[in-house]
Amino acid sequence: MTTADTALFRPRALATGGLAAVRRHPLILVLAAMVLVFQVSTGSFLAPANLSGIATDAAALAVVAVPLALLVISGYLDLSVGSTLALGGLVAGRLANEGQSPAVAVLGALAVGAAVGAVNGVLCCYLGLSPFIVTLGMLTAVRGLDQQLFPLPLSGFGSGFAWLGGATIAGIAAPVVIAALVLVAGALFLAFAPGGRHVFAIGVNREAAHLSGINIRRTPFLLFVATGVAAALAGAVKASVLDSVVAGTSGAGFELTVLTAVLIGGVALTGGSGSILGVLLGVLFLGGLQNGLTLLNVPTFWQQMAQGTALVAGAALAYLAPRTGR
Amino acid sequence: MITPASSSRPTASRRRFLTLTAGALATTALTATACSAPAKATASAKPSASGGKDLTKIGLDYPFTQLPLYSTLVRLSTAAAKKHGISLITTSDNAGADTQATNLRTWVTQKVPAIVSFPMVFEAAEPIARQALDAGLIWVTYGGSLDHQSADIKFSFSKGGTLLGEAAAKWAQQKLGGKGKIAFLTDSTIELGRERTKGMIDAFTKAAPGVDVVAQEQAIDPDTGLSKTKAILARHPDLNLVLGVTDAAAYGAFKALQQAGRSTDDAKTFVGGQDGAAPSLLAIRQGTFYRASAALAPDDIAAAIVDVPRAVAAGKSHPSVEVPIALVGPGDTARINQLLAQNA
Amino acid sequence: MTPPNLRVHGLTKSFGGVTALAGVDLTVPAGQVHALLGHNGAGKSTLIKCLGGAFPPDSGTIEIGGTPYARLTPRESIAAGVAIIYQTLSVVDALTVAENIFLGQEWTRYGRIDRGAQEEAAAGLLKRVAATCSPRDRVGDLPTGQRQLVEIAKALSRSASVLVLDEPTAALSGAESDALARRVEDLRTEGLAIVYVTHLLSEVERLADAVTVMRDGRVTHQSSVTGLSRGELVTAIAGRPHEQTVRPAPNSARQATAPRLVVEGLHGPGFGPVDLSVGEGERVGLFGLIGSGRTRLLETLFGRRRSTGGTVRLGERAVAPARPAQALAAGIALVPADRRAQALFPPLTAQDNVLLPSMRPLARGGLRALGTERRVFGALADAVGLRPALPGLPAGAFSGGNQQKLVLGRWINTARQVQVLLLDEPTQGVDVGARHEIYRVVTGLAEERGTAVLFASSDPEEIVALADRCLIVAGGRVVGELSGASLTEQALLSAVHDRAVSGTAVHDRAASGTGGTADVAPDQHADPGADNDPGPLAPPAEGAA
Repeated sequence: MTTADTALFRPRALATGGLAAVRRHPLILVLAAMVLVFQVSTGSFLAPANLSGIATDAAALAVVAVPLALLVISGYLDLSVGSTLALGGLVAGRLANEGQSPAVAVLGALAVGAAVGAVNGVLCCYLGLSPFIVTLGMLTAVRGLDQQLFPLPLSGFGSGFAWLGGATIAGIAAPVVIAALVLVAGALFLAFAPGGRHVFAIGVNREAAHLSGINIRRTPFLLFVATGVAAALAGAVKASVLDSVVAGTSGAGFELTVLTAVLIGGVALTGGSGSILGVLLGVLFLGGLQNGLTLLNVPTFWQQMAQGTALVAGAALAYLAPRTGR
Repeated sequence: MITPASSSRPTASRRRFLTLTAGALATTALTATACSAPAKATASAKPSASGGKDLTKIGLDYPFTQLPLYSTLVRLSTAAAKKHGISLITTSDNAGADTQATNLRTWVTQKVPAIVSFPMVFEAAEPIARQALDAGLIWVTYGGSLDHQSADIKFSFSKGGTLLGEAAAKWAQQKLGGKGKIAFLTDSTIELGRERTKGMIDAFTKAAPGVDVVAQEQAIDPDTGLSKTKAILARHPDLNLVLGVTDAAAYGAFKALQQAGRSTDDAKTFVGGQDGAAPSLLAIRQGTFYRASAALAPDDIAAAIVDVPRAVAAGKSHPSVEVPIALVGPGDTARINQLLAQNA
Repeated sequence: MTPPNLRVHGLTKSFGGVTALAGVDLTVPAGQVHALLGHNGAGKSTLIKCLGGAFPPDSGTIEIGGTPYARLTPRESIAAGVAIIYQTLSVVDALTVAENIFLGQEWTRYGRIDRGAQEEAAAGLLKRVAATCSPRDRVGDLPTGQRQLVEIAKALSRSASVLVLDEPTAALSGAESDALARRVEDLRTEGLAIVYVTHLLSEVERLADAVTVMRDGRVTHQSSVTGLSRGELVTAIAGRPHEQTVRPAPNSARQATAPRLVVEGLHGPGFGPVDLSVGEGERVGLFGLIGSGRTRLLETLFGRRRSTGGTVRLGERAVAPARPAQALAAGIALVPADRRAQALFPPLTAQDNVLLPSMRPLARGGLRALGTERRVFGALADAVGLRPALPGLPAGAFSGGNQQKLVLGRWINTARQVQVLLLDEPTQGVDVGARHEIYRVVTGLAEERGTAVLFASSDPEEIVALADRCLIVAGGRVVGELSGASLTEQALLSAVHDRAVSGTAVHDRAASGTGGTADVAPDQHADPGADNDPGPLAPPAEGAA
């Protein structure tokens, strides 16, 4: 499992990486089948404008999914990202409304995101409380904070701030560039940073990691902080794209969507296995599925049924295939 | 984006989100004046024992604490109550039907003299309302009516949709010669949303039959509005109109069209929504192609929240209020400013 | 003679690459107590678990009361009449004695549990095992001996015909042990077939009719106890006459080298005070039974547990590691006993398993030095004879011995400088071939790099093969020392077993048992009562065999 993930990023293995990737990530085939079905039936799924739309929409998901995946690999979990996302968007929006530069607005958002992540991290990693309970509590608490601080919707952030969500860099939308950077950083971290291997080690066997001299508290703590920062960044990006944020509803349910992307991407909830490539596939699968069903103009309840079914089928294929091969 | 309401994922959160929207929809209804349309005064609308003329306390149970309107309503109705020497207390239901029932039962037990409640599930509220009346309390139903109640504050859900649909159709006849493409961002998950959706679509298709309806997509929040409109634009780049069941969803469509290259004042584009949400009102005031919203006057609702229980307490014969709805467009700058001031 | 009530034939079981049982035959007639002996990891636990249905054997048959089974589920095992009393008792503390006895087979009357009838029946069963507790007592409030009797009563209530006792006296006081021995004799008279797992030769002599010794998953000795001398028994357990034991020339010069690890008065929960010293390049063994405190001592030196007093010096420098990372920084490394739970990362690659702690030190500019990592791994794989020497193979796919080489390799590769290497049961679950390679590697490490090696083992052969000097550990203390010519398997076995039975200080027995006198040097008087209550001392890792 984990072996191949790093192999993909090792130059020597790149040649055989493609085939190995398909074997280890059957979701690639599911994704390909989905693209084929949607393209044949709509004729416009692969249109550049549509692909760019999917990518932009999936960007915020990818930004949070990467650090969350690392956190889950190390055996932890963060369910508070939906509320943190809203907080990041609100703080960035308020700073932009007050005439601060976009850089200051984004940095402000990242700072509050880091603070939320640090609280999660201290409680889960240093005090040893259950991440499920702690982050579920934080989900509610931070949502309350969002609404207490920002009872009214924010909008009209100005052209400077709109750059974050609206600009194109070499023809690619800024959110997609940001997501790509996060994905590459995550993949490089797992493959080339010593800490990347520590993440797996802690997730596989905490006691053995501890007895190997690995700092089993600091690494997941930093991942909590990174997840908080990423959620706030995603919030700022969403705020910029939509030019508005509503404290009560922004990012509601996002925590489950992003967790779904991470899990369907092959990251085990029990920790110890997963890859950034898988996370990318999970994100694209969720984004493409919704877009395709909209293109087909499927009635609402049929869409729900189709989405649920596709999700379960995709997960089943992705999980069953490598097991039978093993 | 993969929005909470539309991606495949456990239904619990989806349902939760939709209930939120139910709140948005129900409260969307807007009135220019709090004129008391004579509604049904139920048999039990009698002066209450504990109330009388000296009503001192009103409990406002508005479950959708997530919505910006919640803060606005609490602030405005607290101020309105204060003028009459009445204190206003509130619940924190957090959009949970069970929490709401628990909180309401607590109020009935505590004998809060007047309760204004927006039931998330009307059937579930019925027995509590009966208990309240049996205990001699005033029960005012918000957003509908129950069999057991002292009075109600009602909204016409389809009316906002009808007004929006008619306005959009009229614009299409004038600016597009009755031809073009329209997409509707709808809600078919709850009664309020269905009524609004039906009002909007029926009114439009009747008045502008030459315009192609290219999509009807579930969308109630800006994220979904944005991503659905983007997808629709991929197949229909020449889309002219998007009407939203909420302003939030329509605002997402507004952004999607801009990001697809429409200039903000494009003469051949029309976006309209329902809610009177601040971002939408600002966009209308700036003269963009966001051209209409069934805007809400929180002041009027706040006044009704205080006045209806007082009327019941004073023994008035027709205490109920139906709040009619009106459309705000580019010309209504003064009205927009007034609404924005109430929201602030 | 009575027809055999339990007959195991050709039982084989392997886990991954490790063979746990290799064609075991065992016959226990009704009315016989059959002692089962062998070192940890010899296969006793696996055999018991196959009898209890905990896992299915790969091949062979288990015949109970004349009915052969290829495999058993736990439910079938109970139904067939097998009752197993594990070391860790499986009674439910929150329930009463009667409720425990009838758990899962409650007597009902009109759909309700018939407490009266249950308690009456329980009283009869308790009387049969001579338990003093009442059917209404809460089991959690009872002493260990009584709880064990409750479990035996439960077995009787299910009309068990085969009773398996897994080191039943390990957690009992002397008086409780005596009482249990009388019960076992009673049950034999009643016609049960009893398998009695133990480390204690005195128990074999007192109770057993026949004895089976296991080693590396095989039966190495099987005979009647009558006429079997203790010496013969010890030889059977040791596996070969001690003259044949492969023993590297003990390096008597080591004693003269500078002490590298010096421990003075160290104590912590469950052990101490302990004084010991290990010289540069010296290999010192810690020999003792389960629960003797060896693991706690090693884990305290490594910073996994906190000491409550005493000093540890590394050369001239005092160290007090609060975390394993601090111990490692000081140059102390530990290879823990329970490989799966405490050391291995099965899904990660062999190379990752070896180099996890070294990646950061090797990294340049925050990035892993992949080339160097590969070279270090390659050199290590050569040095320890890793098979297969594939860096990318998940560690879980290796055999037990090669897994242990990976774990050991974590601290002895060229990227590491370890001053003191602590090993806890270094070859547990390791096949014979790999065992000798591990001895060779550890010996080489001590001789070439001067690493001080301190290792704990309950396998006397291992002590003899690996140690320059051996400390006998009991009750959390060092109670004796053997080295040079007197360090033999017989001496070691006699030391712990006799001591455990008689409570006599080890040096007396060691002297009389082996004839060696020169090197027996008890550092302090033994506390006879200390290891009669090893329960709270037993660290989890040592229980896994």
